[in-house]
Amino acid sequence: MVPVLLFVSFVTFGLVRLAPGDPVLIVLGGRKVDPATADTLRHQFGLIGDPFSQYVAWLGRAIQGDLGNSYRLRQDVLGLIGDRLPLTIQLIVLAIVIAVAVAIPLGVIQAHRRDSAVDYGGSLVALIGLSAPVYFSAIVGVLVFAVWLGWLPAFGSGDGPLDQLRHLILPSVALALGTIALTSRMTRSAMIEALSSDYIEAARAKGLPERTILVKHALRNALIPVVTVTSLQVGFLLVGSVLVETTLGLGGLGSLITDSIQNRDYPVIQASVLLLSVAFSLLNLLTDLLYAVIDPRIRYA
Amino acid sequence: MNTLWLHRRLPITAVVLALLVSACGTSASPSPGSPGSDGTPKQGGSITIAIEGEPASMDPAFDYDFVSGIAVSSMTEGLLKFCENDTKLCPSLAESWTVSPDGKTYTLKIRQGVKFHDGTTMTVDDVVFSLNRIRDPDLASYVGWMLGHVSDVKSTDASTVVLTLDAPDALLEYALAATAAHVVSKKFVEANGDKYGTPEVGSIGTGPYKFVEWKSGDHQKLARFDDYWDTSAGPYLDEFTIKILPEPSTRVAGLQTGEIDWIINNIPSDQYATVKAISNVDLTFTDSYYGEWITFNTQAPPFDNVKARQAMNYAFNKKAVRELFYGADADPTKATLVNPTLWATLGDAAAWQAAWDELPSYDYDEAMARQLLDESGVKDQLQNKEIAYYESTPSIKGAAEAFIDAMGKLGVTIKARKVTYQESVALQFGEHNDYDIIVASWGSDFPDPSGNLRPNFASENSAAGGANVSNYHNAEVDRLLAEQNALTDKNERAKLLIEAQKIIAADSPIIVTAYPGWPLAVNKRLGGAFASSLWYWDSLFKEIYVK
Repeated sequence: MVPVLLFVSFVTFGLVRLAPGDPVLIVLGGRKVDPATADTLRHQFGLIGDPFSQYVAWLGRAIQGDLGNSYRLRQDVLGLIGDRLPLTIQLIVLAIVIAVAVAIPLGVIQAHRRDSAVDYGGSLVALIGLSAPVYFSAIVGVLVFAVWLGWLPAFGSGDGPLDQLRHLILPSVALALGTIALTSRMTRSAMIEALSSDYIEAARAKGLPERTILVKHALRNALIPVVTVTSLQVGFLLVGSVLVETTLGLGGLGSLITDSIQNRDYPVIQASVLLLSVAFSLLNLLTDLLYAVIDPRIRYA
Repeated sequence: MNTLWLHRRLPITAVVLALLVSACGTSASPSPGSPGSDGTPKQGGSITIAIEGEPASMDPAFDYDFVSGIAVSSMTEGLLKFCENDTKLCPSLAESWTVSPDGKTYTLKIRQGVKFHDGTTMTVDDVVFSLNRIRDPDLASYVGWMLGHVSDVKSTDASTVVLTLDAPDALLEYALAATAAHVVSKKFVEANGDKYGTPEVGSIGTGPYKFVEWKSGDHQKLARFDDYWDTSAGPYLDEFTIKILPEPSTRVAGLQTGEIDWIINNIPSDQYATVKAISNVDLTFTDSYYGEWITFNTQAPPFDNVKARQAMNYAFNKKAVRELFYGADADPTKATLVNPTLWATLGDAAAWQAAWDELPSYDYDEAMARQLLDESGVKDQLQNKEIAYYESTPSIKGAAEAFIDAMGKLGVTIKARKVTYQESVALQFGEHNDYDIIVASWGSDFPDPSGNLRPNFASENSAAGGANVSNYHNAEVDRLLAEQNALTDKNERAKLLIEAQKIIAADSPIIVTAYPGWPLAVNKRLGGAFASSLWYWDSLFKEIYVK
């Protein structure tokens, strides 16, 4: 993992500096600037000297756990990310839970009743979920459920656990739509394949109840590809959370990343990308472990 | 899958969705206020307002934008304040002030018995500490430049502070009403060091509202300070919450659901109609000192050719663009950034009016444009030049697109160079040599016409960090602008500024499209809501109450 992190941090460092826009001028936001102030800020931000030595200096501090201060928000980066991370995690977990809870049963039913109304209905939902951009779904959700019906709040994260849950329904559903689409399609095709295999016919011949056949035998075998697809989806959910958080005024890691990229807040961008790389690596590991749980044939020595 | 099925089902679904989306015009109004509500303010209530981005800090030293000040100006206060719709300076934490005849000594009488939010009393030590802190180059305060001519700050007794300047500065008085002169608690700042102003610690001051919490990326919350020194009117609200909502349609949705009670400035012009249609919201406009304009790098050929610049000005139908975005009653523009609201703040109004009447407006005249362009002889060099603009503000985007169109009619192809807002800022305040044409906006920080002339047209400000986006260099204009800043007589200053303005207008380095106003959307359940031209320096919630 360490070589990956080094590589990622180096590439990110270079890429953000290639993008046009001087962080000092952007921090000073289009108002009058005094050259002495700009110069002091440049020194404080560590933007003096050639990019490579800047990178080495950053790396030296990063190894010791000091990821610097945000240029714009003037706070310790790790603390800032720590403040914002819980909300994003809640959002993504909720989205995954909703997605899995809806998509897998939907896929199973679709496979069981091929070419029925449910099958076509589910496919339509999948089509919409895949086609509609996340921010579009979020805005439509706000219009329908907040402005028009008044059932849900339009934005924000609320106070207290129950209120927070209520505020997160709209964003997590908007986020989950794409995953529901992919996961239900995957489940459907995997289930169809599983249902047409010999052992299922044998089970039916044995007279097992349909539900047992579906869940205990077919689904379990269909799950491997589904788990693969779904865990890859978490990556897309992270991307989607960036859009949803900005659209719906949620103060999570996603909106921090958008903000910091737009404002060339280099330390925050570096730290966030590093964090996401670690998260992805861990996620891959988790997925591999999950295979072992689902399929006894896959065991690690 | 049976594709015919899909062909039949999909359009129906699309129509249903479209119907749902279009129904957003009707709003579910929240429960109305008490029946027969009168106009007398009463204590109590809490409101929620929306801003478009995360504030940088609660430390006044870093408040120099349109979002941080909402909280900062309710918590800390300056020595003076802008009053009477920003046409005058009034006492705030300084009860009175005098300026020496040579303009180099400012003596301020500091109000006694004023309490900070933590119960301690404000003293002249806090005032001296606050001013020196802003002047400290190591702090790198964004407003440090405002005190640039101040060479010394000291207290001469328990109620007097004296500022000594190295040269007279006509703008220093205004700085004393801005965040450069906000008085902070020495004890609190020293105790919190680097954490001062961050969400963890917040800020304390003498203002009508005090810090409750700041949840990073989400909201700030302030509560009424009951021991506020100015008991003339308010503060009335128990508390108010500042919600951070980057997406404009979400802010407007918040107005529609009633979750947001108050928004200033950050409503895009293409949403004015939607907001006006909300039954329980009032949308009003305050005159600003702002201009939106197109300009060129006037040091780079062919933009150094005055006839070419004038031709481009005549070619562009500013009125049509302006009315498209700001309505038929948008204020007309002339070839100056000093609009009537701004010149009303300095000196003899009659002199300014006479000057205004004489100024060219370069009204749309295609024939004149063609003629001037031919006379300039640089039409070929204009081909394929680029206009840099950001798309997130409809009027800016619209002006750029209309300009490309207008030049197309003259037979000149101008290319679009789309940039993000932040990149546009970097271009406008960078070296000023990395663009051909650019769409910009600017408004004076102070109620003084020099604020829209000196930063934008003095050649010293074309260096990196300055606002001379036109890269304009004119020795006579430089002389006039520098001289007026050292004078104290307002009529004398006005004369010099009018003279400079005249030269600039004839040179046509900028094409002024609009003088936009500040939109203010307020839920009808609130009373006392008012925003002046310099609202971002003002304490906006002192007199607001819930009916």
